[in-house]
Amino acid sequence: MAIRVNLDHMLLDRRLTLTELADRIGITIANLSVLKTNKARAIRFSTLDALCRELQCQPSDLLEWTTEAMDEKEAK
Amino acid sequence: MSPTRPRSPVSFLIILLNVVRFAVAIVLVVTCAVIVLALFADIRGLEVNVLPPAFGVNPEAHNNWTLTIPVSVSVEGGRIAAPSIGIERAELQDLSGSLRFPIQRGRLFILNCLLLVLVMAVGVWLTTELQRVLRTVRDGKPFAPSNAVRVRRIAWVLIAGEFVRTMIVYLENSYAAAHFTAEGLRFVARPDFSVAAIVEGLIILVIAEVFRAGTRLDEDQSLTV
Repeated sequence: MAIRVNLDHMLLDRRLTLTELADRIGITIANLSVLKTNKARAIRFSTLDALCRELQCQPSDLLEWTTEAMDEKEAK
Repeated sequence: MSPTRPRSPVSFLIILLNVVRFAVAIVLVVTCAVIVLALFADIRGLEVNVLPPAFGVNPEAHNNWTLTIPVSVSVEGGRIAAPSIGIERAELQDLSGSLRFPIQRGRLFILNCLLLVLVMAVGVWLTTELQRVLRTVRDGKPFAPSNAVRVRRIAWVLIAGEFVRTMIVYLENSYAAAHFTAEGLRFVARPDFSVAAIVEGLIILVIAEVFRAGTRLDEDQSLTV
């Protein structure tokens, strides 16, 4: 996959934990963890909307297209 | 996906397959025992003279054991007609059935026993695989990655099994044609190939592909956040 999710950077910048964000946007920590570790195959608009609302950012701040394929090990 | 109800047809099928597997396994063990017995005893008419009396086998009680093989016959002579509907001459064609005769010790008997063991071993394997697939369906996880592989294996075994069955029937037909005679009948060797069995196997292969696609979709769905 060549789309990287920069959720860890966003959380770090805003000094938020995964648990706090999960509580705020109403999805499970497991699902959010899938997103953070770049294992996700797809993201719903509703999830993206909730993330942008809580993190006060644009979708482009969260998603980044990279030329190199995501390393499988990194995804795992 | 939610698990199926305990009284669903899937649960019933799992129980049924359990019973079938158990029954086949018992027959498998008995057949293996008969093969071992055949190696040590004179089983011509199952007169177990070699076995000591301590085995408790009464030769008189067991000398009617028989072997059944598939045969094809053609009718020689005899006139078939239906005067009431104006048919003067008709022919019986492609007759096949089973020939039963007293067990003779020899290659045919051992070969048949080994084939029976093979068929039953495959039967046990097939029921086990089917049961595993059905269990995942019962637990609400029909698209487990292993299911596509299992269903594909079952399909290939069924297709290969039909070719093997055809070959065995032909060989046993040939054996009957070479050794048996009957008045008005001629034993012939005829390939008894079932296209329907191959089509069934191919349909199951298609179902395996459906399972594979389902597994991929299920994986996509579970990794959609």
